[in-house]
Amino acid sequence: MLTKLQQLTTATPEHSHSLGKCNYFDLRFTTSHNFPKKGLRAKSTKHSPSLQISRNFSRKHQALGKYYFWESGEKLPSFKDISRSYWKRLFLKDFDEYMGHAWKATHPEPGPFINWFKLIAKDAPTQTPPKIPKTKDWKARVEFAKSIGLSELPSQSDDSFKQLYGLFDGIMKYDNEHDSVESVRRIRRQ
Amino acid sequence: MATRVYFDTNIWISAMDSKDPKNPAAINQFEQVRQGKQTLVISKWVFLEIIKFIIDKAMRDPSIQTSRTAESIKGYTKTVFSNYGNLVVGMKHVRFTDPKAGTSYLLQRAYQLSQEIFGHATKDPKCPVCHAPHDFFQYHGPYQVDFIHALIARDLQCQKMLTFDNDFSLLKNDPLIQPLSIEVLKS
Repeated sequence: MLTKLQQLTTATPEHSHSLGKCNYFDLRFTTSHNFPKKGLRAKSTKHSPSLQISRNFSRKHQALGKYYFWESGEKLPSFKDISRSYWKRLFLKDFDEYMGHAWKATHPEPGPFINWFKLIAKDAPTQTPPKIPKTKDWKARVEFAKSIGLSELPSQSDDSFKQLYGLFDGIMKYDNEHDSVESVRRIRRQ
Repeated sequence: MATRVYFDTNIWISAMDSKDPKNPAAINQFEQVRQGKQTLVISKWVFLEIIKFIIDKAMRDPSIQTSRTAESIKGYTKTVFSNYGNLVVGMKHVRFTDPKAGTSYLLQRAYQLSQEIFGHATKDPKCPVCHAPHDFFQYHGPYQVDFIHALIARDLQCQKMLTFDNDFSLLKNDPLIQPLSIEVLKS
């Protein structure tokens, strides 16, 4: 079992970062006792001498070891941890792997657990919003839509053209002149 | 492949005004955009002119004539422009873009055009406002803003600029405007 534990706590060859043959992830260098909390001058412990960092390692290597310990994102097991949760996890995993099929063989009926979330999600009608293909002017389009008070871009359709024709009839009803050329000229000349 | 076109503001306004005699010709051009035969490019320069046009029309609206406050004009303009903008955003084959060329370069070319291109003058024996006998002389030719408009269309890499304004015909074939082709539409 120690071998299995070592496999779990040992870095892969690709992730060794040329640290030589020294295996910093060896169980012996991964406990909380490895790196003294109050400076490097740690008090020597009388018990468990195997958990001590060897004095052959330089400070630089010790720092790197600490880095790898931190980079792994997972706290490597201390001796205390091994004796409790780690063993338990390993045991349950092995049980599930080797004994789970035997349990299912003797208990073929489905378990009492009902995944209500899954059932609700399955029954709910899926409403996927229509996808609008992004064009090169997407950003400018969104910016313009925001400027006129739209929270999202409307879908493009032929109706927009039809509604555009004659859109200004309302604002032109008090106007006698309907000559766009003269109107625009006046705008530009004023 | 669809032609990349730029519509002068008067084409936009003619399409939106059913009483305009040029309305069918303008709609014909928009229909080509709808069918994907033309890709219509629109810049903020057009939006600026549309906003100015709406403000002009607001002056004739009874609600504005009653309450002549900045707030009422703002409300009127924003409402009308939002309705317009909402439709423009929803139109197929319309590209929103602005030229990347710097203002300095744009003004430099507009200045050069204003030194090269001049129109002609006409004499009208009557006042255009009160129609009383009066010698009224009028200039017919592109102005500075017209130059800027054509240059924007060119910088937006449009193949064609369409307009109803005959003054733009003087800009045709100018080296500063090319390779943009200017087409003056007949109503």
